[in-house]
Amino acid sequence: MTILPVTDQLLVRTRIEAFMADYVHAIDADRLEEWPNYFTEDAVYQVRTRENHECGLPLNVMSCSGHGMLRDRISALRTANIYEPHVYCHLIGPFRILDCNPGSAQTESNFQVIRTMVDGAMSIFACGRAFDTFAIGSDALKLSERIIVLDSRQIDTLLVIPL
Amino acid sequence: MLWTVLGFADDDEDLLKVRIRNNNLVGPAGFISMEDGCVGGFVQRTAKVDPSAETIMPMGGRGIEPSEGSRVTEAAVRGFWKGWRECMGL
Repeated sequence: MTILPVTDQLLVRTRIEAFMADYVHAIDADRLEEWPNYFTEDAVYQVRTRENHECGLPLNVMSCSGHGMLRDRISALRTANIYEPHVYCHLIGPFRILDCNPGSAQTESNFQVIRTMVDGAMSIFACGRAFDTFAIGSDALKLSERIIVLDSRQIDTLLVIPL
Repeated sequence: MLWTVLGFADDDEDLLKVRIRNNNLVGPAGFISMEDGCVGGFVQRTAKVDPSAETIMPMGGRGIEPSEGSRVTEAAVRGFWKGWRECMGL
């Protein structure tokens, strides 16, 4: 593994921050059809509870591997799932860079999602950490893995929009 | 609602993968079950109007005649219990 010089690491950090800002705004602005495009073709996306994560239990609340399963989630929520209309506001914290080399980087970051229902009721819907692995190309980043670890094991009603 | 999903200690890697993949159907993000959460939410909010009272919300009326047009009815369940009460002489 090649360790990058500090200036290159800063560049990677800036690119990751810009990329994840785009990622959360695409979700929060209901441009969900764009969501799979933030991932590599064979990416892994999982949402799990902290309890399961710390116990080493493999069960996830949501588990997708590959673009097909990501697209499935969006087409299901557009055409099949029944749920009350609501929107997310993602707030993401600073990215700890766990690993950074020329082709990929791994980060850990905190996040919070405030959910607003159609009648105006607001709640902190989700809070926890995201463990992201990025495939770094010369002109584009993609997520090759995104593991969301929810602090709470309780999810209010349902999780339909991705985090 | 508490979801507990079981596997077996001797499940091999492939079977475990299948179980995890199938789990996308159930739980709070389940393709099948999240609708139940949504409808359960409606019912809970309505039933909570007076927490000290008892609330009965008969779905599809009180009769046991087959309903036309929609299968969203509890007529069959009501029919079963009506039959049970007759058999038990209640």
